[in-house]
Amino acid sequence: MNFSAEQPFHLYSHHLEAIGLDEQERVPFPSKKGGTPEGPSPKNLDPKPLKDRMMDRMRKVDPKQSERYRQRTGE
Amino acid sequence: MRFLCGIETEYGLLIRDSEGRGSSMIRQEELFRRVRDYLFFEKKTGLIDLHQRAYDEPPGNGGFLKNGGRLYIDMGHVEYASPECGTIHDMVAMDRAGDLLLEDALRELGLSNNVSFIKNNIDHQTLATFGSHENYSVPRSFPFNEKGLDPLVAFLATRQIFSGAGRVGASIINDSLITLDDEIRSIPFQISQRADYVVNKFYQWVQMNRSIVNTRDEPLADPLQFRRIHLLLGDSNMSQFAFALKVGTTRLVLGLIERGQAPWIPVSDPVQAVRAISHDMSMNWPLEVNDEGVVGAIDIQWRFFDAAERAFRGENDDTDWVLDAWKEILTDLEKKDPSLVSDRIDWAQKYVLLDAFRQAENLSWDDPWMESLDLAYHDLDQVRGLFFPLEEDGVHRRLVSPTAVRAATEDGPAGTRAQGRSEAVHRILKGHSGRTYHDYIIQWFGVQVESGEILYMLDPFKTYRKEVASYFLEAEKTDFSA
Repeated sequence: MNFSAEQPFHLYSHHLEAIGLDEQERVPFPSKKGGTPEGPSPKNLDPKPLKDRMMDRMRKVDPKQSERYRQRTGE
Repeated sequence: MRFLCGIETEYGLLIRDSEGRGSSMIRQEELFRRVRDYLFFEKKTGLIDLHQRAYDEPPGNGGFLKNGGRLYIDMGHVEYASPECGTIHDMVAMDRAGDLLLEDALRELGLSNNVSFIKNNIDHQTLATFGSHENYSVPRSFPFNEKGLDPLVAFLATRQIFSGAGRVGASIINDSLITLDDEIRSIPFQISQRADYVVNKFYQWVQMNRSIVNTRDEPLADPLQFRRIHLLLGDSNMSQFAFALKVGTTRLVLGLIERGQAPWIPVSDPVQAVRAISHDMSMNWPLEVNDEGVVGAIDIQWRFFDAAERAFRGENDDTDWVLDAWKEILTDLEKKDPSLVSDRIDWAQKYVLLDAFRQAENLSWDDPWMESLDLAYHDLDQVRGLFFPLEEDGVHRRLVSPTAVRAATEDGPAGTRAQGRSEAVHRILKGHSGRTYHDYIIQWFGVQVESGEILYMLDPFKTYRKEVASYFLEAEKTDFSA
């Protein structure tokens, strides 16, 4: 099942709740959901539910990448 | 009250390599230069500086962009300064335009498999921090002194409850600069990236002595009419909603100060309060107020909201959107459940996402993987970054379309002098009527070509489009060799 902007958001609330991303009341301005003011977002070609896709994406993060991220103090 | 805002973002760079040279500052700077040179010399995204701008900005260090903003290398970071924006929508679009320019550059250079820009404010290994600076134009009559600015302190100290980007762990800054491991382990997650680094209430400089309110007076406009409020307390936001609410509410509070209607809430120790609120994941956020005792951060925000509601409701669509969104978020924050605000607030979104993963993988918060996931939330690479799928799927609210962000990389925001600056950059890049410009100086407050007359743009609320058209019409007729 795809989480596309065209489909009713509440259908997926059980997936979202599982990772704490439950359905929210939306404000009317400037847009309600991930769809754009001109139209819906591009369809996601990955058929997995968002929760699964997010978990997959997080598992692909190198557990040690933070050790390589050393920055200069800026301003 | 007129809104005019800009944002300066310093980006971090994550290099993935098997040799472990990713943390090399020299490699980072080489890549910064490569991206900059690609954007200015190959992609023609803007005009590289031909002249020295300041002691630390030699020719070629950066330049103005077609959208009227600026991209340059500063203090070991690529920095994007957005053009001045007159609406919340434009501000969000222009902020994201900087992200998009950099992300596009890495992909087009074939570097995105190994390199990512990270839009955050810390690393987890050192005490380094880098900024997201907000700029607000206010009238010269604004009470620009510690007494006048004091109401801003309580607002900014508590604003992080909806504007914080969140982070795993803490950076404990103390007098001896020694970090105690036990101290860090006691803070698994906090709501702000910058809170640990703020050590002053007011200060005019930025590095090593960061303050809640920066008091540098550099208007970059007619100094007889304008001041520029420069704030460095905030985190870089991935969330469009949180960013819009941050700049929108801040401008309203500055408006209250202008009118002498801002609540004055003397927080006993504001620097300590900034950290205490950030570290308090119970969402109670108590702080000590002189003559009043303990007051919650949400209550303090409600006082500013009530004053802004009375002063500004109905002024324009932007103001009403900010007031509605502010009221909604404070109402939801009172329920003390991060998952109820995770569709609008970065720290809450990151917390619920990482906590779900932590539980699924049976990790503790101090596992190095959690820090790496924290970074991944801010990764601007669309394929790797953790934030973008949430926005694309409507889980996290999006305010501005990808189409509008793409357009914001090309053209300046309407209704401000950035529009005139943008047109000037386009004209110089393209040339006109056979004229090619070999020399130019672009500044926030003016334009000059071929050592001719300077077109001053001292009013940031004016577009200068007619003046720019006339200026270049005249330049086309002029023989500068004479």
